[in-house]
Amino acid sequence: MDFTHLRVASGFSLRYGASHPERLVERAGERGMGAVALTDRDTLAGAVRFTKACARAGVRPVYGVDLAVAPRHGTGRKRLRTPVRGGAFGDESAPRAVFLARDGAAGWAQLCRLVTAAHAAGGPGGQTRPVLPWAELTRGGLDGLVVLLGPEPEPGRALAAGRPDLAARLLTPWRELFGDALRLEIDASGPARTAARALGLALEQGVDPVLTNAVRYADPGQGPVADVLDAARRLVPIDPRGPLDNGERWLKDPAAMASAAAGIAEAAGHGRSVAHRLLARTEETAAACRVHPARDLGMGGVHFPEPHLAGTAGRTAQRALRSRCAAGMVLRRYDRDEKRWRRLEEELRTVERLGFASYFLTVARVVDDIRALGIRVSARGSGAGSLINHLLGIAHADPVEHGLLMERFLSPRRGALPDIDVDVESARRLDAYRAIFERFGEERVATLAMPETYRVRHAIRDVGLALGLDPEATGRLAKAFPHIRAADARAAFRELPELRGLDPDAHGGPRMWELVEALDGLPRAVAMHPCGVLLSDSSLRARTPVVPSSGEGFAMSQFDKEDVEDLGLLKLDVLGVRMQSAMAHAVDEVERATGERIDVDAPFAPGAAGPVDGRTYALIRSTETLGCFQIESPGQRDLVGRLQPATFHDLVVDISLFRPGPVGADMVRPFIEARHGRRVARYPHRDLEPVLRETHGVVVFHEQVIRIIAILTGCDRALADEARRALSDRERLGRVRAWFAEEASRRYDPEVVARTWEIVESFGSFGFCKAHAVAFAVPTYQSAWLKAHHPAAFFAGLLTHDPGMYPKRLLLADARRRGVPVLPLDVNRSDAAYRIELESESGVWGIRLALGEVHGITEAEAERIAAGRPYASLTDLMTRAAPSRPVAERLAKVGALDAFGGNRRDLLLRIAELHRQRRAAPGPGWGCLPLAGEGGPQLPLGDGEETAPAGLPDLTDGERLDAELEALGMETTGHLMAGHRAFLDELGALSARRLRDAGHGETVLVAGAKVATQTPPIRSGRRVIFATLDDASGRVALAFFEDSHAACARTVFHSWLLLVRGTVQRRGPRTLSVVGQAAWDLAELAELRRTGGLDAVAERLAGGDGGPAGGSGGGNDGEEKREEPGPVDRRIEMSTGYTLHPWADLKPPGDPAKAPRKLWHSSPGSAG
Amino acid sequence: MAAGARGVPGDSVLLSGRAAGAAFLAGGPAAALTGLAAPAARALCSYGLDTVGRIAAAPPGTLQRILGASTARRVHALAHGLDPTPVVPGAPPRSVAAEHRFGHDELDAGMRRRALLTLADELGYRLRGEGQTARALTLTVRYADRSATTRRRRLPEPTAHTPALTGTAYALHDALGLQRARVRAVALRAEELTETARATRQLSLDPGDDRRRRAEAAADRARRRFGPGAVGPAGNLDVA
Repeated sequence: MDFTHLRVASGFSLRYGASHPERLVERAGERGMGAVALTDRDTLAGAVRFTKACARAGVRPVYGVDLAVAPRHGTGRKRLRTPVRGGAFGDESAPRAVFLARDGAAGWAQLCRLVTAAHAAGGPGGQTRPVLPWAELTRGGLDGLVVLLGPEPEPGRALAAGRPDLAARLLTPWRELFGDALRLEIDASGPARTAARALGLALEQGVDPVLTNAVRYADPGQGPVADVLDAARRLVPIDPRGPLDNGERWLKDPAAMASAAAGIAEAAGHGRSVAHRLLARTEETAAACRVHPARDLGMGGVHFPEPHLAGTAGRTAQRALRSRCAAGMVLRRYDRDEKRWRRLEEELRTVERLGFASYFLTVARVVDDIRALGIRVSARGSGAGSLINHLLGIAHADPVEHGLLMERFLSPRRGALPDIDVDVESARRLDAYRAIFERFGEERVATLAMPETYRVRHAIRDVGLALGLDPEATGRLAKAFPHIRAADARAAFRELPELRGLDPDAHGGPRMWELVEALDGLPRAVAMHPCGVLLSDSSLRARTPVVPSSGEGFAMSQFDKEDVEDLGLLKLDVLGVRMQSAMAHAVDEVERATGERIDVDAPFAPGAAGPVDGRTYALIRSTETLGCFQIESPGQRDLVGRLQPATFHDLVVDISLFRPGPVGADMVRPFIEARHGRRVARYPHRDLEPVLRETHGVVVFHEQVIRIIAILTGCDRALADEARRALSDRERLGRVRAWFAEEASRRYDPEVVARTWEIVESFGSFGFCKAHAVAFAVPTYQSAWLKAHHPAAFFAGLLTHDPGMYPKRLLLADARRRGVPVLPLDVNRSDAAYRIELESESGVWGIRLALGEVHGITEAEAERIAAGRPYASLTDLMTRAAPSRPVAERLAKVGALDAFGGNRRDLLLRIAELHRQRRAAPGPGWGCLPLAGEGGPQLPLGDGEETAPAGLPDLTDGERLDAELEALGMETTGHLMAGHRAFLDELGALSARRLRDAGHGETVLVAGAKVATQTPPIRSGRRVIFATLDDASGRVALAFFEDSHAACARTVFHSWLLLVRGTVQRRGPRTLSVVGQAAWDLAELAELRRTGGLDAVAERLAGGDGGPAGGSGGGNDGEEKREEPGPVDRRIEMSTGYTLHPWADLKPPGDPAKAPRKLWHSSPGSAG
Repeated sequence: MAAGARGVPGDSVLLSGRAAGAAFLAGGPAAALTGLAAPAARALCSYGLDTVGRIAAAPPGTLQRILGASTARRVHALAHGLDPTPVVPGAPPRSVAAEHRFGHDELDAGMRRRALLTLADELGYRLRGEGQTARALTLTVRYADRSATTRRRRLPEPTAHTPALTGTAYALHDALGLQRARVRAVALRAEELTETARATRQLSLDPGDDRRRRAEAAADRARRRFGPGAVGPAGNLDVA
């Protein structure tokens, strides 16, 4: 006896289902069910994972969706007034029905259509919940579906209210539309009375009944989790008096369902035969719903857009591609090169065999369209290795010149679609999307979904809301965690030092943490993926439901990027890269100010000299690379300092080496030694010399590994690439080794074979794709070039678009140190974006700060202010530009209005008055007695050019600094550490400049504003916290090892100004860092100095290893001693034999509570 | 005022001479000035006038621009140590308040109204006991995040009659239209108290009104005799 659950909601029903589809399928298989349906609410997003899980478990999938249907005659719901606080109740009154796909592809297409229609009615971003309008059902074309009407829709409700006659009447329209395809759902999980009535109605009216369990979770006992999800969905705390989930809605096994059926039949006054009929009907319905994943969903095939849209002009795609490539060869003057023609022929043959010509033409078309809009665009990734891409203009760099391989990108052995990623200017990314939509049409293009899942912070907040806990305490608890998985919450308490001092049971009790962990990984919301675009032929909307995304309202497929690949839809990644926008801005600024048009792509154009500018490489070698693409992090600057790149190829190698793999596998040292001539390059065999010569005998690139394997075994490069991929898979490694040994021994000596294999095995999985590196190295060179030759414009671009890791205040400090003057904010001179301006005294180009940087200013306001320049007086500014009051006050506080009067507080007073007047008398001519005359409205107080002094105390230096940091996030008048210099001298702390002369092993005190914290994965598996401090004279690199974490981690993550005691470690004439042992919050110490004097400070410094005063965090004194977190023993073993600390490399946490905006960078793995 | 600023109860500070008095005041924060409402104190602080000394030093014209004419004059005088309000020992309180705290988030409007009924009943009882009537009623609703909403309404005539207070309380509450707000406490404050003897009352043609008042008086007598919990409206929260 079998039973199929026809109504099952998984976690993809946002904030409703409590189990992942995989788990549900697993349980179905374990409980002996042959088929199971997935009917999520308002979405089909889980279908692909569901299908794959079913294939693994041997269960047949049935597809469906649970949609809300608008009642035919309006809801009759009154509109309540808007509440003053706390928000309105959500409207969940629309009745829901389940639609199951019956007839293969047609059924699936109809499901997609219905979901699309339901969301379209809901408005962009789902402002109101998706509801299917009745008109959509009457439109017809729904013969491929089976409809289940459950207790919720109108007939069911009428039944529940005891009106069977009304229920029968309400059934009629459904019967008219669907006839035999209509079923009445008997819900076994609800009260027996309702189920019995429904059964009675079904029998009376002659509609087939089916039995379901309205499943929301896989196992019994998950009722409380369902309650939490309901609370999170409706945004109200769980009402202990109100209806709670009864715990019955799990995936019950067939025996339980059979007994439920018997119970319901009895309650309805019928016998066993009715129960049997009920079960039989359910099985028949399930059996009728046949959708085959491969045939009907399109899984496993590829659907390209029609070639004519990519511009083939009547030829086949292959011919069009061939002719365009030939044209490209001529254009780039390669047409005499025999080698290139051969390479091109090879690539074209591969493309033809795989049938991907249309793909290349499509991508080329997209790139051309984007370029035509004047947006900087280039390909990244392994696509750079294809000569076809280069000839079509998709990739800049010449693959032949750099030795890049097509096989790394596209191989006849790998049927998978190649992945081409395209970088565009971040500021114009949406323009690029619109171009794609325009070219291919709405019916062929969609963006992708990106489900946001519950991680620990959101889980804590939602469980806190559900349990009715204090929101402030909940928020603090949530922020204390780094961004880890919710399932690791309790483990984190035991192991993470920065959570020391927090008692896990003090807040909601152990029940709370159980619920938090149960929410792990469930989708919470759906956002638009920031890069992906789907391109397909016109059957797109029959294959995937498309909903309007929030924000721009682009049509978004409900599937995410992995699912989309399985469905055979073509995905193109269009990434907005801020560095491209920054460079475009810099180039535009230079043109605006001097008329000179720079072309940063010129060195890479065909026939140019190439990237060989000496000043650029000199800048890179000096490690003053703040702001440059890829090479500004402390670790990169260290590597660049040791590597000393002198050519473009050196940059490519540097980028390839700077990753945890090569660093951990110690590939860097031999390379550097070989490069500087301290070591002689050795090759296992002279046949390999041409391959390894460029990297002095060290294997760095994937392409080199491919070539080595191909040379030694004599196989073709596509097979070699397959072998390379297998190197990182422990299971397949053995077979590859055996195959290699066998093939290579036929051609070479065993010693050579063994040596080569050793190299390949240890480095093969750590290499980097050279095509990627080349694609990255281009903007690296370009940004460094701009920094070397046009620093002011470069910084203007960086500050406007903020591409790098560091906070803007550090960029400003760097600009000042390099001699670029920083011109303050001035309403009569500043523009909405950062501009360069000639400073009058020195004749040097300086950066004028931007109005757009002011906290809370809107784009429109900034434009208005900039457009109305110059202003004669404050009144003039307030009249014509009309900034909002908080913005005007911030402008006054940071000195943008200093031209109108000396005292900033007086200006604040004036602004308040002008604002009051404006509010009191809105309309034209506000403010007053209309005096005839040219000056416009004059105030009765007779406002002149400057504001009369009002005798208020002006802002002190400290207050000015605070105002700048609050309004702009950066200090403009002087470095913020300058004010602490006297105090630091008293303590004997060294400045960054004086630190350079410190000796190895010396114990020092250093201080500064934190600009970065990182906890990268380290080979030994330890967790090391790296921090960078900035003081007026330079930067200090700090490292905290595990023994200091218990004392320091909290302070290091959550404070901004730090004082650190540690020992100096020198690793070279230029590179030094400080290994920290103790850390204190400098702001707290300064406050202590003010109130308690130097003695109090000395006492605090001597009193321990740092950390907050009073030892563990307050609030739980007097409880029994909590165990100190011990050292973390567990490590994660990666398949490459590399051990990883479990808390390293986590997603970045949010901004700290105190700082109004990002004041320092924190990496994956850092809690703050 | 000076005593309130920095004294320990029971302590006395001797200041001789005007100058010493001014110096004593000068260090104090602006909020120490009595009768200075919190918004006004915040406004002064935002203009840098955060100590009494600075307020005293500021030109009176500027104070006028910040606070308005009458407040500015008063504040200016206060900052110089001149406080003209008469000292009245043992004056009756100017307002009476009562608060009810729920132990949890109360989203049910019905329960909140019952709480308001309980509070209004208690306030009415206290007012009638003291022989006072209230002219205005203030409702404060506190939420789980410790913020609050306050609404105030003037009653049509001074009254201590519970149904009148309850009706106004209900009106204030319903005007907020709360749906999902996590209400943790409600408080009612009866203000602008005057003596009953001086209050006027609009007579009504409705005989029910007279009956209700007489019932209320009777209930008050019972409560005075048997304790405040002896008689009360059926919807009182304690009863449930």
